[in-house]
Amino acid sequence: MPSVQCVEVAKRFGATPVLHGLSLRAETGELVAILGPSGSGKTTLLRLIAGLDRPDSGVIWIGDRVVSGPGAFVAPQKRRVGMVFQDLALWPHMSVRKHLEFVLKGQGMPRRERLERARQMLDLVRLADRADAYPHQLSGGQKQRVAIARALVAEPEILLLDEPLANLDLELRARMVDEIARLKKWFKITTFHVTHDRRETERLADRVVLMEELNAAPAADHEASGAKAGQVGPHCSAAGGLSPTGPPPRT
Amino acid sequence: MNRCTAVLAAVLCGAMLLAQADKLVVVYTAHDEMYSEPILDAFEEQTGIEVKAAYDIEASKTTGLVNRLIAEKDHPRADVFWNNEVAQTIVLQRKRVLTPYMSPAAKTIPPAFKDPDGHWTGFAARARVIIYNTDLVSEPPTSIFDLTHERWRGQAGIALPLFGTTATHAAALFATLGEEPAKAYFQALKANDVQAVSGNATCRDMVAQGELKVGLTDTDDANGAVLDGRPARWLFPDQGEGQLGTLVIPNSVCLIRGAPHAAQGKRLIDFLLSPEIEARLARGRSMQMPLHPDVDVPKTVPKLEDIRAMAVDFYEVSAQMTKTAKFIQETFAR
Amino acid sequence: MLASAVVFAVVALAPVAVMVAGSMSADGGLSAAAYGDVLRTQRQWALLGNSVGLAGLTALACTALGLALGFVLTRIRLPLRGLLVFLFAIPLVVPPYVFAMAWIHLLGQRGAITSMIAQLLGLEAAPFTIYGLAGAVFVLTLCYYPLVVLTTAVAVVSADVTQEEAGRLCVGWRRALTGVTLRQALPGCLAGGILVFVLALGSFGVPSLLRLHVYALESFTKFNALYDMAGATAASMPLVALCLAALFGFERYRRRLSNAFVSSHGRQPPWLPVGRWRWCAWCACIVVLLVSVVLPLGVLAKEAGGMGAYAQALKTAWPELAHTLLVGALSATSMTLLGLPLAYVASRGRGWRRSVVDYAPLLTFAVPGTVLGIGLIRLWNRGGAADWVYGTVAVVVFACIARFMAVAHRGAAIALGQIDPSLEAAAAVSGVSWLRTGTGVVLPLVWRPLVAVWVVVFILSVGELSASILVCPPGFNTITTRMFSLMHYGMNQLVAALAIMLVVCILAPLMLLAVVMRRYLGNAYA
Repeated sequence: MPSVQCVEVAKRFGATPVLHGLSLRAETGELVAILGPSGSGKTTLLRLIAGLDRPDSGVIWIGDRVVSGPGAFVAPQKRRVGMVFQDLALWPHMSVRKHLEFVLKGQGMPRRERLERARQMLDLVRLADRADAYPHQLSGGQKQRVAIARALVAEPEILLLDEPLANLDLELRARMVDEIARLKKWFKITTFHVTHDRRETERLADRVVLMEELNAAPAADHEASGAKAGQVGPHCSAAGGLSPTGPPPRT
Repeated sequence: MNRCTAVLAAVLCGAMLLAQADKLVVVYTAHDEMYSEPILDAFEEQTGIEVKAAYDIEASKTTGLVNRLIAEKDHPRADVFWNNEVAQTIVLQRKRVLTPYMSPAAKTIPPAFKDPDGHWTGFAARARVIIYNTDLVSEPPTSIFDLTHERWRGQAGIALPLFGTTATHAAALFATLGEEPAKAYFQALKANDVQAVSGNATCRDMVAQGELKVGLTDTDDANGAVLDGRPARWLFPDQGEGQLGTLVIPNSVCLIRGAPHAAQGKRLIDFLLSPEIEARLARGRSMQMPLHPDVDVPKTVPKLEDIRAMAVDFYEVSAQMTKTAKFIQETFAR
Repeated sequence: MLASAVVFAVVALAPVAVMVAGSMSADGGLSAAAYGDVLRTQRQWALLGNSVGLAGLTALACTALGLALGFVLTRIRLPLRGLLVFLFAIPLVVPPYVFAMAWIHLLGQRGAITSMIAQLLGLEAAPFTIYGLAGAVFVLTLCYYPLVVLTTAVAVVSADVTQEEAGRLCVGWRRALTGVTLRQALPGCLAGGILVFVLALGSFGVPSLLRLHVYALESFTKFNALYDMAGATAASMPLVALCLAALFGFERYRRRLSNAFVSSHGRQPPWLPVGRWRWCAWCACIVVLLVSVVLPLGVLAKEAGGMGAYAQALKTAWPELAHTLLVGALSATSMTLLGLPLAYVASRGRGWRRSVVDYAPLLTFAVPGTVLGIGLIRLWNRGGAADWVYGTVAVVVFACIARFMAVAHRGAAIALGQIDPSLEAAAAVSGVSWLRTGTGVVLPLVWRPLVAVWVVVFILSVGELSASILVCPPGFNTITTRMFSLMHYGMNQLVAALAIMLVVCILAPLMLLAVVMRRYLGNAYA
């Protein structure tokens, strides 16, 4: 499994800069949690890694390949990336089973193998009994599992999770965390897990990074460092958690 | 062996195509489809040559086909153009779209109605007449100039004189009366609230329905109303001594320069110019007056010699068309 | 996608380019003389005013009527709803010129209705007739309003129901409807309105019959009476500019609104709790149908008389009928196939590519048919390989594509715009190729609106006249040209019978539309 590296990646939408020269690295097989409030550019970062958008500047590596950079761009289909979207993006006209088969067919897999792999994945996410249901017939948690199954069924090398546990109740969230932990142990894929809730990261993440630190705006750099050094800044979250970059927060 | 068969097949196909070409003629006709189609069918039956026809529509009144012929000049598709008037045929002649052909059938047609060099020949004529509603009008106007009188304010109709025979009529007035008197006439018509409608048939319908009391239209349209039993009658205007006379507009037929099937085209022209066809067109609903002398027609069809016709030089008329059109545009199209 | 753009460029843009180039050259050099003429005289400004007035008022009326009807038909549980939906599409099928003649019979100076009114009021003549601006607006509105009904219905049905439900909880269903759902459906509705604006701006036959002189007459005159090709092309440019301006303005407005996406739960919008008012709505629909469909068709049927007329019409015109349907089917299919990729670029693309694809079909839409026809002749009448186009049905199909691609493109764009891009992103990320994403994800979600698009451009192609009259191969006439040439004799039996037959023949794809739309609108006969 390759590593992922972003070097000085910047992106603006129209006149609004969203990512300011961000650099980030995930080691092979590592699950990196990216914490940050809404609007901080987390989804944009994931989309850049997936290849759904192009960065304005900077380079993104997957393994030793440049997938986004000056003069180079690899299409999302070719990146072997799996993604669970924030709004899940399930296909309303396909049943659960069809979701998986559609993805596998696109890989050129023969029919027998496709059916087998889909069945395995359905068992894994415990949706075998709902295989022929359509998205509008599923509950929130079931839909989430379909999205995860779809992301994993093609055996990607990188996994991107965009707030996968949002909109779930506590019990369901706990179960989903178990699920992802299990899958993580099983597949050992390099993963980025984007969330705004620190609690999700406690069990899953090998490393937590804060979006504000990653994505510090150039002009605000001085204040940010000053804040880190001197005070309890608003960006420092509640106690606990791993934070290998930057000094530990003062309380 | 395979190559031989292929060549043989190609030759056979080519021969078949050539044979087909022998049996084909393409005609563009502005003459109303309802009447021209049976005549073209008769030609097909008689000669075995297939006729492919393109027709025009009321809204563009001939000029659609004329423009098409001009646009196709470099690679002509049509062999024959059968027009229902003359001025635009002369436009084609000026633009070098036509080629001369003296048909033997044209010998007895009066010289006023054909081109001396044979570029076009006239036949089966219509006249510009006054139509009036018999329920509403007891004393119809007898001259086109009467339509400018107070009596007919807002009650008279003409087709917009930009297209078709009405345009020819306007240009003829410019040519015969002179520019100033013709302009004065049309301005007087406009001042008298003449209703400029979209076509001769519409004009006829308005009069027959009673929407208007009088109108200027063609004999074929007028005759249609009479045959349908509607309360409308028509008369030849300006027939008195010293008056202008009625404008007589013949059909015209011509051969296209560079026609793909010239020989078949000539046969079609001969056919159309024959006295039998003139008789047929006279007997039909369109009541076209034959130009050949001594054609056998029903009594209801007027004879050319009985009418006082406006003395026109069609070349002069054609030359006036652009100027007339510009003036009409200014006066009426606002 | 590039392929479809190239095809469109060759088929439709090239003849227009030829004409524009021709209009700018004179005597072998570059000259703007033809353009200098345009709009110099006062008369032309008056004509332009008439055109804009006609188009603007018609679009306004159609939008109002279409919006109301679109909502009523999709959100109120009416009896015989399926049948109503079907009947409302009929006005599109009849050529506007035929409609105008039917209305003159009813509301002309001695029309049936005006005479009745005059008698009732004891007047010599009725106080109003069908002639003039008001009458032209009336007739054109009745011809084109189904377009807006269609676009509105599609927009309402595809709107996100949960947003309205969220509103309902706070402000009651009326305010939620007007504040939320109306806003969601407005872009679709207005898109239909803009279409009507452009169609009405270029219309010439109906206004001329109703004695309203419009700007299209200028181009027509230069072409037909003065043989001035350059002038005709130049004269058509103000109309083209106006159309492009209107469409540009609409685009800016549309981009400021957010689109409503098809939601994954696929629920149909709920019925509105209107109670007794349901019957009022139903009566209103019936009245509109009476006026727009029953009256004019009734006049036609009365004129046609007995079966004899129909038999004769069929006997003389069946080859043309077959040609017409062939042209319609080929054009509609090509346009839908081409339109989808073009619309994809327009709705997903960015920058100059998007603008070009958006506006190129509009250019060919706004150019008058006669200019297009001559351009096509100049381009394809060259002998040799071009004969595969010129002299066959292909050139007529090209004419229809050029004229109506804008409609297909817009329709497809609306349909595509309502799909959340993340659905395609999910497929891309999952490794599915672009082509399979199109066929597996996009197409199943848009095929129903696309069928509606097909039917609409089919009907428009069948009614196309001004370009096809110039390029129809001899011996391959369409029924529209025959009808128009027969109109020389006014509304007689044959014309009426042909018109009714045309309506019947087009009803087949209309029924297809109704079936598809019924399932899409999600309801059986109530």
